[in-house]
Amino acid sequence: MESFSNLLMGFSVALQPGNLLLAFLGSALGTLIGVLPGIGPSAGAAILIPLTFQMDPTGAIIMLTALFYGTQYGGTITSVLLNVPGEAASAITCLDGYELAKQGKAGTALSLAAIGSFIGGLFATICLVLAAAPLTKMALQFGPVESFALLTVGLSLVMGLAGKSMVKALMMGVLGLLLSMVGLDPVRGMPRFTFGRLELMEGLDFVPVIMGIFGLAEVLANAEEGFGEITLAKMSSLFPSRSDLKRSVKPIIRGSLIGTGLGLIPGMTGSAASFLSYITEKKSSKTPEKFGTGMVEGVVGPETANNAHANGALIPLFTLGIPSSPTVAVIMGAFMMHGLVPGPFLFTEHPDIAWGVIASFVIGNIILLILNLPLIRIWVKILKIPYGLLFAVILGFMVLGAFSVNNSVFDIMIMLGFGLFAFFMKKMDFPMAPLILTLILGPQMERALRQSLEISQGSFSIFIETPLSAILFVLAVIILIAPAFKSLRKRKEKVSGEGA
Amino acid sequence: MTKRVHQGTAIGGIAIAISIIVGSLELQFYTRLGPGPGFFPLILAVIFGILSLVWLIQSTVYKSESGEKKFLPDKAALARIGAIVVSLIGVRILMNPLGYQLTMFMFLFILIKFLGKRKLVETVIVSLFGSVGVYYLFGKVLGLLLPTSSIAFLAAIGL
Amino acid sequence: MNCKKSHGFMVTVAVAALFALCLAPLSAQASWPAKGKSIQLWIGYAAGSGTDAGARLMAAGLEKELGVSIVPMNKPGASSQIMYSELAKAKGDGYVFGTINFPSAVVSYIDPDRKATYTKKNFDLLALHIVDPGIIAVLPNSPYKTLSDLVAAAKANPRKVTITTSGIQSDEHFALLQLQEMTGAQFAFVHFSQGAAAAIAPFLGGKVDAYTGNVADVIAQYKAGQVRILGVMDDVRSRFYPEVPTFEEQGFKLYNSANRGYAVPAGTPKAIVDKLSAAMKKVMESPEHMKQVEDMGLTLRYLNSEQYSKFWDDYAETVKRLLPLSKE
Repeated sequence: MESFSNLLMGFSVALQPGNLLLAFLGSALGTLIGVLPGIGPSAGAAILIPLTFQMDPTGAIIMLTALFYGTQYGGTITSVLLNVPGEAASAITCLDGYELAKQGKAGTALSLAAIGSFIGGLFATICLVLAAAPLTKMALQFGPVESFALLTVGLSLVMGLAGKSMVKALMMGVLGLLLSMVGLDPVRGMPRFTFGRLELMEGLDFVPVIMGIFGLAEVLANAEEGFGEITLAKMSSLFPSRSDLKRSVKPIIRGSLIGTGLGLIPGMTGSAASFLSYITEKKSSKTPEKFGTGMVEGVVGPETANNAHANGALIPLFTLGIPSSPTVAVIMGAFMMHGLVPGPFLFTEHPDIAWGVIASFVIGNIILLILNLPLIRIWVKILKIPYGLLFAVILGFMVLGAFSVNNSVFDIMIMLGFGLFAFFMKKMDFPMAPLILTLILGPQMERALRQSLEISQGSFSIFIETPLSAILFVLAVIILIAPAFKSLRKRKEKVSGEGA
Repeated sequence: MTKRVHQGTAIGGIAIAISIIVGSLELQFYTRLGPGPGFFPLILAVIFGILSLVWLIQSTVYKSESGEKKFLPDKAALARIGAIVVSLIGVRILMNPLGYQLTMFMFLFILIKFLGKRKLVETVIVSLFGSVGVYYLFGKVLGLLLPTSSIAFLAAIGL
Repeated sequence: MNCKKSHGFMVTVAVAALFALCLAPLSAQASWPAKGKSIQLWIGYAAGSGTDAGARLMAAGLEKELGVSIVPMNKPGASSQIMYSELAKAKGDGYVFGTINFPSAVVSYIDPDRKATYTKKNFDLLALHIVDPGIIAVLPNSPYKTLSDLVAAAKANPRKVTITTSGIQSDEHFALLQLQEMTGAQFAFVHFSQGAAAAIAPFLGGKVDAYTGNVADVIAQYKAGQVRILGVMDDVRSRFYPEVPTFEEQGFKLYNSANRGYAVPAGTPKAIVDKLSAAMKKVMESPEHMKQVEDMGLTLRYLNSEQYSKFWDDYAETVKRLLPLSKE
């Protein structure tokens, strides 16, 4: 098969010592940037690009792409150990990952996340090698209309995040949607709910918000109990047990599919991928109510998804030269600054570079796995730091992260506000996950709706007339009413059981 | 006690809903092509208000279980939480005038020494690393400049 | 006798001091930039954006020209409005300058809804740096073979021909409004506020009839033969698309580009402004810089302080006229 021989050629390029070293460097830096909050892959890549001017193009691209998907490995670490998301896409890992850490299973969580991340990244790369063109064609079917329908499906799945109280989950979901409307509206470009503050014109920045909801709220909760009294369970083995591994198989498969699929569709972010994976795992589980208390599936699925997404997002770049997110646009800029134009032309003009870079994705993911697994031993030592010291470090970490997103002290206040809010609401048993999910999906939905209506010039029938969209809407309806049927069936069984 | 808090928050939710509704009345509800900027905020705020009302009713009818933990933190806990909040506000105010290094040093020092009750040496080392260390790490290695003081003489000595 | 002498001495000292004070700024100007001091370049967009990339290239070039360190600082938010507000208030001593993007700079103070705290008067312009002329493109299998075809279709079927922009009040939006003004055609705008890159995928997927963007946006697709570029909104053909005629050649006098330049706070001494502007010109003429900018798919175009100012004024007129239309 042609792809296979090309890939082999690519390996011969990627395995050259210079390129290997750069892949390693990129992976290490990527992990570091993933750990550091506030600095995302785009800022990290942008900073490195000038340094790459002296390098040959292949090596430069290898390093930058390794940095890009490497950040997804690092973001997990602080999410699990400190309840502080290092990366937006790792936010959902806090929910069950941190719980696992509290139960002494941090090593398990981190290693499963690393393994899942590896398989997810590899899966997306295999898709790139084997089926890039047809997959991209499929992805192009998702214009604004189909995207809106897909997001509606995501929204209907949010209902599945309701724990004990439907009312509370709905309230948080609606609140998230309301919060997502702060900023310039997609219809008229006018400031909405910004209270005259310029900092809010582009909406609430996601990073300070999740730092507040996860990190700060946790620190405040611990402060309430007193710093001497925080004891984490004794650390059990660093490696996952056999049963944990068995439980991870299906989440990894699902996460890989979800992540790669959403990575292909421009506009769908890594956070959306990891969150949707979480919801899918919760819905597929026999014990959904246990999510949030340390379910392994709630860590492995999302972590696989966000890595599959990162590598999957590179597919449209290679096939069509389309950057599916601002971060990928930075990578595209890097290509261009070295005189390379990504797209099908690259494969004919510079096949060695194109396939060399693709091969480096495989190598990069292997390097990252090797880098991250043994390091877990060191990372978990962080948990041994006395909390009286650790909490201040966490706070400093978060201040830095929140501030550096926009070089703005306003974001520190946003973090504070949401931290207090989440602290208060958690005491009353309000789930935060629906709020975060709608905060992510909200802006995209409103934008997609507006764009769809601009295409149809005001006609809502476009959603039914477009086949893919119609199918997705039906799916959304099914997801919404399915739980009602489930409880109906349960009641029937109860009744017939009693009657017998 | 808990019941009152739940009820109070529910009422707060209704108040927020009403203020959003008022705010979105100023925005265009529907444009030529579809929902305007005020459309979703209005509808969502109404839904939010209704849900808050439902919650208010639920928490009023709810029978409190015996042995529930007290809701509000005790005095000492409140002091700790307050200290953290005040420190964060302090960072916001001082970050630009005093620069990153000074602000973060004080922030970390105060938190570690007085809340975390750690030894002086440990406190100073960690505070120095988190302030000066991070400043140079970001500046030299990553090329990202953290704020320097806007007070002339402090900036002159590199802070 | 003694009194008079000391009195005279004091007066001399006072006059000398006064003289020195007057000369000091002049000497500061002459010695600008002072060795060891660094100049800050405020970038109104986040690290990794197009503006950021170009600005950092300029910063690197200026460092060599001026011999002092130029420190880029990202101050993103509200399409640079936050940075503009700060720049307007900063000291005009030549140690800080900022990026200026059209149309966001102009729109931000002309549009009353944006509640800007500054106007053009608060800035002294340095130079124009980079332009990225606008283009309109369709798919290769599109029925529109020329620009006139597209315009005719839009005229015959008002609001039926869908065309993308990179957001409300983006440079494409204003360009299309001008085109509508000139021809009486009426398009159906589809705004992609995430930027032109977000519009490419729906365009390639056939969800819209036409695409408006800038030269650098579709280089990859053009090379792969996936787009047909109908025209470039400039007075010369683009180096990247030599076979594509300009709008002017096809009878539409429309000139539009996403352009980026630099400015200092108003009140900066003219000597410093001129010196900095001249240094920028030298950077833009260096082969290294030219290659870097070309690799990004962008076009260099230098305008000095006065020319840039006139350019701004002309553009402001257009924006003022079209602003109400852009809000409809």
